[in-house]
Amino acid sequence: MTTDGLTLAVSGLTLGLTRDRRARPLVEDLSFGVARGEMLAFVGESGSGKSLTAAAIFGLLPAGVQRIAGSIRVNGSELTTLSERRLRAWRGRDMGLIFQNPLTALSPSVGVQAQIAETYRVHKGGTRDAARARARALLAEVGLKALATGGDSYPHQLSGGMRQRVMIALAAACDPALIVADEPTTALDVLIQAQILDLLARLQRERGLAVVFITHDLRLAARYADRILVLYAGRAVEEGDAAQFFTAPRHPYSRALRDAIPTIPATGGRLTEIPGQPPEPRALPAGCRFAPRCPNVGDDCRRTEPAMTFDGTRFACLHPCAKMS
Amino acid sequence: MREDVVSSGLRVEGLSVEYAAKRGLGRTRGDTHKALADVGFILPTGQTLGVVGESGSGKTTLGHAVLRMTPVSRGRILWDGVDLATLSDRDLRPYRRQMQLVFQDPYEAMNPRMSIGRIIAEPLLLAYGLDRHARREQALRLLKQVGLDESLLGRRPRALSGGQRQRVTLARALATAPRLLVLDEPTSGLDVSLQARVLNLLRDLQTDKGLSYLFISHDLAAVAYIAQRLLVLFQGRVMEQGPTDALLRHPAHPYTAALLAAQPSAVPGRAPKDPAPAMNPVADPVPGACVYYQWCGKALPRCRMEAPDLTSLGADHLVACHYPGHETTSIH
Repeated sequence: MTTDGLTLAVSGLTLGLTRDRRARPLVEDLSFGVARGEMLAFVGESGSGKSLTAAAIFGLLPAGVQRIAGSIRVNGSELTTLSERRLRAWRGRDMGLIFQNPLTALSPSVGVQAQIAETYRVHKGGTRDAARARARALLAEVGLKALATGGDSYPHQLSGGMRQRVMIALAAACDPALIVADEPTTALDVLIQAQILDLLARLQRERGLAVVFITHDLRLAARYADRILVLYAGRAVEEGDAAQFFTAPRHPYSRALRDAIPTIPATGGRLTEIPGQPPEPRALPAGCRFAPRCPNVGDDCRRTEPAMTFDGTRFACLHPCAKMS
Repeated sequence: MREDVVSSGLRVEGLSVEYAAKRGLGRTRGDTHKALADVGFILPTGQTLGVVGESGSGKTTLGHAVLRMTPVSRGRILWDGVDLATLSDRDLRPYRRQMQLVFQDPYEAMNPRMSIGRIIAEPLLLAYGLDRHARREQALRLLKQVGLDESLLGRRPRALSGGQRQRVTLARALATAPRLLVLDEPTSGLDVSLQARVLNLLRDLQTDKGLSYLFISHDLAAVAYIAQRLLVLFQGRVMEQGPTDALLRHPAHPYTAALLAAQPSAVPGRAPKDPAPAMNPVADPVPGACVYYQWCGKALPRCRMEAPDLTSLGADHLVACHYPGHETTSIH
């Protein structure tokens, strides 16, 4: 993969447990890139490594997990070799992170205007007044005009959707090149969910942001993202154009994720279940990790771990689904 | 409703739940907050009624009110013709076994220090006073029924995945052999693959046992899969109700249409045409106006002057809108 011109370029990223270096990695040999103005969606079940990858990009891996190999470049600069001090300057300034639960990410005792202004001043300097004015402009930009004027509001006074808008304003405060949104709407109602993702997509377009959107819902990924990357048990199993992806996924796991979703109006048939559970990192099967749950499985799948191949989309499967399903 | 019309199943009429409003600016003592206003529906035995709406629409209150878990201000809850709303707690007890609630967050609904076996068997002790041996036997049977392995019996809730926990709460709800389940967002915390499994399981249980479901959710796709009829709530009022298919193909109320448009569709690369409405959820309603007036993209002067009644749109389809639209939605 060429990394020229990519806002985010990750290659060969491997994450594993610190204590047990012989254990199989939690995320293995993951490579992807996101260009300016592009949205890439990470899709997969809980435990597939979506959030860990996001944490690794920001240098915020939880205790006990470390990067074993791989490079992470933002605008051409390697982040993995930066000191914590230098990395702290990158976070917030060049890349913003939006969490699933804004209440844990926002300070409960500081007004939201003040929080955004502080973030801005830490990274960009300037006067308090200028930073406050910038915070108000940002709040207005994310559709919170009521919070942009007059006195400041505390996070607890806001609804879940409003808090998530504040998070977006905070993430976008210093004009970052990259925003990573980790399940930003999981706790929200459908209407609010649509509003938040519309807003994110608008910022992506208007400001030319590179966005990584993490979700377990293939529908949301298909609706908002340009490209989709499906993760299973720590490995990329398929990556491709969002539209093509939904009509003709090649990896049986991608297809299973798609077919598990009920449609409107209902078709009347049963939903397709994915039998079994994702494997524990400690007990990964030999060969393809999806083999024990796969409808297309063959004997060869249990021996060799398939490599990524390109045919319409990039996928790692020995017995892929037909090109048009 | 005449007394001689006794239908089997659940029939709710004019159900209202009101709380004393917080005193604040412009509010005087004695004001009430209407969590539910004049809600009515029929849920025939063996069928599913989907209740949809946003947070604060009264979905959960409706589920709780039907089970008499929250005080009912007015209205009737007819269960096989018996009005549960008027029964004393004592008289209500035999009916409680027949109706069970499945909570949204299974983890919060379980005692983390109890084993899965005890969690499932507890209702059996409370309702029937079964001995330990019989309880264990029943717990095993229930566990099997929801597709879980008996090895889970001795585990704590912490050791289970989200999907397994949700099935445990389902097993517990089934312990007293209920006829009605109130399911409050049973799949909203689950991954799509687990959601499919829970929805299929619910459908199988319904077919096997003739259960009735009051299925509360904001996910229209899940509701479309499981419910024959839909009830759309907004701020405690019924906006629209009718057969699921008709409602989703031709939503008559602008709010139903907005919910549908916000639903993540299977149409890739297509962001919604209309930005979703409803930005300021704390605005006080305009007195005398339609409750949806401030959010409605199609509101006309009449909507401000006069709140629409729930009127029939033919074939079992009711809508509370002066200008119900028969437009096709953006979802195909």
